[in-house]
Amino acid sequence: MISKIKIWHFLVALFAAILLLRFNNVIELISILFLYVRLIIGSPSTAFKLFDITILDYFLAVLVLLSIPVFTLILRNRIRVLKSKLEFVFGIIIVLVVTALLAPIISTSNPKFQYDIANAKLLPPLSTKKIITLSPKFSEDNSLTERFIEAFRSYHSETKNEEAFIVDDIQIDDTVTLIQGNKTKEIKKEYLSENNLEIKTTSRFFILGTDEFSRDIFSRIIYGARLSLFIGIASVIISLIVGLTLGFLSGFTGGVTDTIFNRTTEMFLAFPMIFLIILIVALFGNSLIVVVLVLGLSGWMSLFKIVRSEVISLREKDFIVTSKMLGYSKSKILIKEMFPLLMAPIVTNLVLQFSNVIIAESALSYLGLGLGNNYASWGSMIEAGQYYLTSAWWMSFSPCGFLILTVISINILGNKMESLLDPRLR
Amino acid sequence: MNQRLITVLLRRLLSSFVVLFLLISFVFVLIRLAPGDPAQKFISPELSKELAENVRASFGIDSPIHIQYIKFIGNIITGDLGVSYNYRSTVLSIIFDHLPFTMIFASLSFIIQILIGFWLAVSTYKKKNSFYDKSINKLSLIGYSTPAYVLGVILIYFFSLQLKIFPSSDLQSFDFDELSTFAKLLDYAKHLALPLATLSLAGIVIFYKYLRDNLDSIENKMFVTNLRAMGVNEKTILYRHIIPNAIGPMISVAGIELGVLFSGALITEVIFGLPGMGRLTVNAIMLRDYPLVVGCSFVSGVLVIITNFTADVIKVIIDKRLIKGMLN
Repeated sequence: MISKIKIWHFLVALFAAILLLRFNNVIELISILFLYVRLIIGSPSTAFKLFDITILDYFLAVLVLLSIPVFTLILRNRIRVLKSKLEFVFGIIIVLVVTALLAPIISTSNPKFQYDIANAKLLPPLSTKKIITLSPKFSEDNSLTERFIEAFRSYHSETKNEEAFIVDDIQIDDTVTLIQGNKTKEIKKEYLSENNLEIKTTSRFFILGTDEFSRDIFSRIIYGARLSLFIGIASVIISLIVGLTLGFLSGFTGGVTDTIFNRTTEMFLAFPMIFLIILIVALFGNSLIVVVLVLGLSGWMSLFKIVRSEVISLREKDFIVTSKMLGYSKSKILIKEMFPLLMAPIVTNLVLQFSNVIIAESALSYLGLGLGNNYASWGSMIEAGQYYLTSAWWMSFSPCGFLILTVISINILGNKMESLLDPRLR
Repeated sequence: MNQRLITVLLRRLLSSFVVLFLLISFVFVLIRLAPGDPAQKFISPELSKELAENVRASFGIDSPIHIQYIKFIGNIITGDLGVSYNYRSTVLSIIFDHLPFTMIFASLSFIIQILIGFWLAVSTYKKKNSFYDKSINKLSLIGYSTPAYVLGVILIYFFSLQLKIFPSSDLQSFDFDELSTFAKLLDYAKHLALPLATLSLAGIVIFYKYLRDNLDSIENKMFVTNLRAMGVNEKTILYRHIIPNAIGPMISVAGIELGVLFSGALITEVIFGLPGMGRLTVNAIMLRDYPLVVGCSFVSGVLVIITNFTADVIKVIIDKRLIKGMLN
């Protein structure tokens, strides 16, 4: 039974599951985007003023979500990968990528949003809390701009902290009574009507609990996955560009250039990069660009070695010599003739490099040198959880589990890629 | 033969020095490129203009860049790495306070890695395709994929918080001075057990994997079949013929691994709060103590270069066939 499941089945099932479990989120997001589009048509200047990078993020998430079934159902016969057998590792990788892309839909709250600290910090996994929000009454005669701002703000409970209460129970008769432990708080109905407020009761399910600032760990892990994947992909691309060009130049030209490049690379290879990474991050500050650049520029050496040796062995082959004589340019020879043969070792190397970068990024965040202050990152979550191990083990154990699972699946994927892509093994 | 050996060693030594020189230059370029004025910290707005200029001049920032570069290299060669902002003593003396611990820690871990890795490889090789072999093979993937900080946190949770066997941080107990010599050793052992486990796991897996692959590939060689046909018993074949042949290539892996160990020690020391180079480096970065940061990364780099050189030397001395390849 399990062996019959194909990758496209899994994708469609994932889509259905997300739609079922996060239906409210999807509807809210679509309405926010709808309001924004109306705003653009109505008054472009205010729309431009209200523009936020998160709107783009929401738009992309909805687009990706809706394109998953269309894409898989139409293309399942054309793309071979979609029809191949689903393996455990592929499943994990797909879930990881989809989570990173759809972070605003899948996460239940903003990763930086702090719930009521007194009542919601260090909640164990699988705990449910009732949340009472006093929000301005929604009325049709509000202007479009106000409605958009309200909807945008209230998505992922980004309302102000003082307007949201976490309670055990609520009783509504003449007065509204909020019960929290053995404390009660009464709110008179006149107060609500005077200030044009409305009581909304939502119950929030913290599947992985909350951390010391009562932020939702599940959402933070999702945004952390996104950060890890983004940094991984960006720095792997940098490594690819540097390693491929230098390796090709070195292997193809030969002579003094080759010797110089090769020697320098050997020196870099011999040196453990973590010291240089730490030095650079310490001197230049830990912005996203610095971290990506440093991790990318510290990982191209093994790729250079592979490309160089392959190019040297290919250089003397008949078909390359012929295409040289035919007057092909160097870049054309690289892209058209050599690249297909280099594919397998390059991709394998990049996949393994990808897992190295994820580990290195988390290590930097763990040491407090990464992006943990500005973004939710697995490394900094583990570090923060270490101080609460006695009282809240879930704080560092959940990111630990996700990190190990991710790295293992990427490593296995790397080994599989090698046999999948090599034309000689097919 | 000896002359060629010396040529090879001299060449390696020379290239090590070149690497060292490049490292120093790289550090210099980084410091120059980094944003901010290093003298800024010592100039308050209340200082008069001449005094501020004097402070700036004492840092040597006003002289042209190539003179600064020569001065920088000269300082480092004479062992003058500057004065730490935070500890208020010379960088070199602070580093020498912390270096011995890291050296001992890393070498202990290295010995553990080799012993356990070797034992695992041989014992799984003897029971090929058994459940034990397969499970160790699967577990090795998990071990390889688990970063030190994840393993450290898990070990601390189970062994020092739940079972309360080992302490979770520091090198000595609070009553260390009152203990007898034997109890002192036991105390050290207890404190080092978890850090050593954390630091060693990745290396154990690497040694195990590498040796195991070697054993498998050598078993398929003709001379082993020949020995079997001659009726030599399996034990002799394994210990006298297969293992010695498989161990040779492990030395270069060991050399690389020893270099990696220093960076692994960095994170492990931070997790367990041990007084070594790693924690010194991270603290220096946190406190923006640039002379100390530069000194730490420089000394670590030198250590790595020395270990690589030593590994090369050992490799050449053991396997004389390599000399030919290195001369070309």
